Amino acid sequence: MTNKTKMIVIITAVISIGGILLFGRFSKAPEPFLSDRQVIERINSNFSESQPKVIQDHIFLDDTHVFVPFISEDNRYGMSFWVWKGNKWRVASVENRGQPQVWNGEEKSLIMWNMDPKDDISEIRVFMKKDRDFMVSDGKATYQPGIEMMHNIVMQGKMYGVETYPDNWQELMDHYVKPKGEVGQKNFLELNEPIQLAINFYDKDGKETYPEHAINGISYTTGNNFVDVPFLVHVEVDELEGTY
Amino acid sequence: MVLYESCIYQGGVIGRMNGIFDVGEYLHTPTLILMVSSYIMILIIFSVIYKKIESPPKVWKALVVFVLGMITFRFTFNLSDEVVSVPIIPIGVALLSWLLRRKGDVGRWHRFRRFAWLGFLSNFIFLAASLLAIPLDEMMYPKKEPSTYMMDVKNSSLIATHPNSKEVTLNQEELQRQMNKMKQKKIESESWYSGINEESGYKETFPYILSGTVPEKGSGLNVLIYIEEDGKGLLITPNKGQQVYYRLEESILTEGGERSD
Repeated sequence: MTNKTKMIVIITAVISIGGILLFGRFSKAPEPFLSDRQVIERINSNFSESQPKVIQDHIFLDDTHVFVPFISEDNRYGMSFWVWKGNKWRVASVENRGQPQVWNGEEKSLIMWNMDPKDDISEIRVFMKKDRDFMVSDGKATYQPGIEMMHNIVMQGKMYGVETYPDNWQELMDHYVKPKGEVGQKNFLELNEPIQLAINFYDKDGKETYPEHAINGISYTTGNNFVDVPFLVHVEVDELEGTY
Repeated sequence: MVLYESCIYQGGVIGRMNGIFDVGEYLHTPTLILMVSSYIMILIIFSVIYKKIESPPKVWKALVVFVLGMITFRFTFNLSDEVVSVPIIPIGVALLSWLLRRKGDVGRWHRFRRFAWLGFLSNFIFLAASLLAIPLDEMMYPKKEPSTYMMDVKNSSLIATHPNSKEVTLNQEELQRQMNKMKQKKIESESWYSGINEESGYKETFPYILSGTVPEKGSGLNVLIYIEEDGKGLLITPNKGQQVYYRLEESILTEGGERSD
């Protein structure tokens, strides 16, 4: 072999081995989720302020996203969100409160919560809302009907959980978001107040209440955050048009 | 004006990004036709010029000069959803004329100048195409026809979007039957809006959404269709152009039945 062919063989070998290594590195399937002890250690090493004592559960939102509700050393009901990234389970964010949060996955959107039993909540109502609006310009009128849809989540003994949106909410959101994907279509956007998600809470007697413990708290995030910000806002009953 | 106040609170803006890169869905046939014809036209002019010249330069050189000739100072604005740009100063041509004429080689500029000017001209061809797109779109997809917005209603369904509405189901056959009998009416936006208040019990005029319809292929349309509370009105918000409102003779809703929320 001449020097030149040797060089070519060596370079090809290096590139293919490197390629295989890189490929293996990036395409690893997610490993089984961490043990409770590992979860506690990771949270403590990232966010020293919210020490988990008990890991209540871990719920897979999809293959690479996990919701982990926990109880902290100071008896707060918190939530942590985990993501499989760079071949590792990484903590995306930790909260020492459990108010409902939204995750918009590729396939579906989910609501997650971990209510503090001290708040005595037995029902969460989620509203999909869009404000009514109208416009007249250059003699051309536009009207945007108001939207208000309610979906209730009833706590059944378990104070934490994950739930998908009703199918027709998903459908409606797709309707709204799709046309917005294109640039320069001002007419559609001008009047389109975004669809909003709002929320309120009820106790076991069906009375509206405010979950102090679940709403007041701190949230810590790393760069891997996947929970939607801003979170669900609280809506007053008299801000709603329907009676529920 | 209670309703305006409620705009103040900030909710989670929902954003899902799927479907955006769905090319087929946004394919706009009139634009495509006009773009292709402008390119063909420019190509023809290019080859005609090339053949006419006595001592033609190499093709790639002519192409480079053509592309540089396209550089212009232009004025761009929006004309009913079309981006229109009017070429004003042929910067590319001026630059080429100076570059190629350097060292007193006038013959070189002479051989290339037509390609440079063709570059400038091509801007006008594109301008004409973008202007033609508007009437061509109206011709191919008339904005008065309901079928432009909902060619296919076979998979349509109803979503009740407001609590103060009757429980109804969609009568798809009736919708299909009346497709060509709908009458376009004026959008009474202001009176609809002000008619919905506390005294009237917050009854939304358009409390349902017609989902699952498919607009005419190639129209580049994406629509949101609201159904009027009496089932005899359709309010269509397209992603481009104006909102349209149709009235029907018979209701496309059947009272009672299972409510979809």
